[in-house]
Amino acid sequence: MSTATEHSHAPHAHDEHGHGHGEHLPFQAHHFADMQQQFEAGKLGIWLFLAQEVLFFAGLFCAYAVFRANHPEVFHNAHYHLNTLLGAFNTIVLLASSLAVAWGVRCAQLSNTKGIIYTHVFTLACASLFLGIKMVEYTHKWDEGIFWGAKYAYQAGAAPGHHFHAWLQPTMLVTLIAGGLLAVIGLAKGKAGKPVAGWTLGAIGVTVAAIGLGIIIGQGVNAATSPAAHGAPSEHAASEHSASSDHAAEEHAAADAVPTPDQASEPMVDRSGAATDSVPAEKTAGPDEAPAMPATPPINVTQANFFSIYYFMTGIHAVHIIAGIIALTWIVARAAANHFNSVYYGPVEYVGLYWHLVDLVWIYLFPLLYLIR
Amino acid sequence: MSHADHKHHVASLPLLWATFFALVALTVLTVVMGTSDQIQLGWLDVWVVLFIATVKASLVALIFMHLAADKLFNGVVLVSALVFMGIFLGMCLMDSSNYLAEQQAYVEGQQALLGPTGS
Repeated sequence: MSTATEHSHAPHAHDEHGHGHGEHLPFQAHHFADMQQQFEAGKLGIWLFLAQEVLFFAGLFCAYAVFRANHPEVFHNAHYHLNTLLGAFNTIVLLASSLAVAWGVRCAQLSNTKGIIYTHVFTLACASLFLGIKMVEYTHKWDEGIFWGAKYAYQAGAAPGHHFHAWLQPTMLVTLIAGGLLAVIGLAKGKAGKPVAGWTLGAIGVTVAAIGLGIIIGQGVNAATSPAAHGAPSEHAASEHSASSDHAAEEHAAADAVPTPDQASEPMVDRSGAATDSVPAEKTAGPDEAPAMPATPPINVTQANFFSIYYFMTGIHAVHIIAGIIALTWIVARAAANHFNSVYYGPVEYVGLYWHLVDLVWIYLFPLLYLIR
Repeated sequence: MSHADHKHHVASLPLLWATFFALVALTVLTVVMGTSDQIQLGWLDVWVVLFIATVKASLVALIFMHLAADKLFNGVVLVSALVFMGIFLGMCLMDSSNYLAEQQAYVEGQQALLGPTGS
């Protein structure tokens, strides 16, 4: 059966569960004629939900597309703050979890309960690894003053007063210890003949501990790629500094249609006024670079807009990951209770489809946010 | 209909693994395309990167999500959502050409900046 493409439910498969045709299966809702109808109705329902999810993310992708189409210069500069290697690593982590979930559905179709549990616990570990790495990325940005909207106040290197990274070490220790403890308790429960409590606690333990592992990997990769990742921002900070000190001179040259190199490389980083200087930035791209439209007021688009979009898109995606973690844990608990087999495995398939969609969204987010040129 | 005669599609393990390795290979390809200094396609860049992402998304949808072997209607649901997303994005991007003057100025500024250093 390992390479078969069609798995037929012969009548003998039902005999194992001890029921005849007139009888209701344990998980068959009374309003469905049979398990097949129930499965297909549920599957159509989850596809409609996924269609809604696509349209939900469409709003965010639209914000991204409009800002990028209108102000590519902002997006081009902003991507220097993102670590491509961490993004690529997270992409592969999610792809591996997608493989595991697809494998888990296959196990369910073949009534392999242990297989469902192993693949889904692995998926949970991947989900937390992803979140741990995202945590490192977020704290690193926050320490440089990279926030959303009006809070954006970029400073190269750690800004005084911002010590979010100081929370990473304790978080890592707490998640590793607490997760390890939960996993050990789960193991003990499992050995004591309580598979559902055992696997559920074990799955939660692995999930929590993998956050710590993600923080370790994220910090390791961040440290290893630090010179390469920060070559651009420091250069960028230098030009920011000269831009602000030469600010008056640039104002005199504002009539030039072609921006100076400083303006081009760093058109509006000091726009928030809260960073290294408090000079209000008159030298925006608006009036300087578009002399054909003098009446147009300066358009207030800055890197802060990019990071608002970045935090919103990755944050909403992370919320979906957390929802997925809850759903996957539910699947582990039900699989441990021996609920799933080749006749009834709808929930495994539905949660799997949802998890693949979360992966699909990241497949687009990664190149759009991390690979801008 | 009796539930004794229905069939479920079971994906084979070699197919799942092959899909995973193809996805990883495409991820590596997109990182190389997106970061290499040798391969610079200018305005085409974003479309190449999006094309690779779409190939990856199709692999996930067709094989991991079983759409290739599933009832056609489930695929129709997904594709219709994508069509409406396309209409939505297309409409929202209709006025983007109004910003071309700013973009042109930016490109010229970049060329002035990058010309001497060549980085």
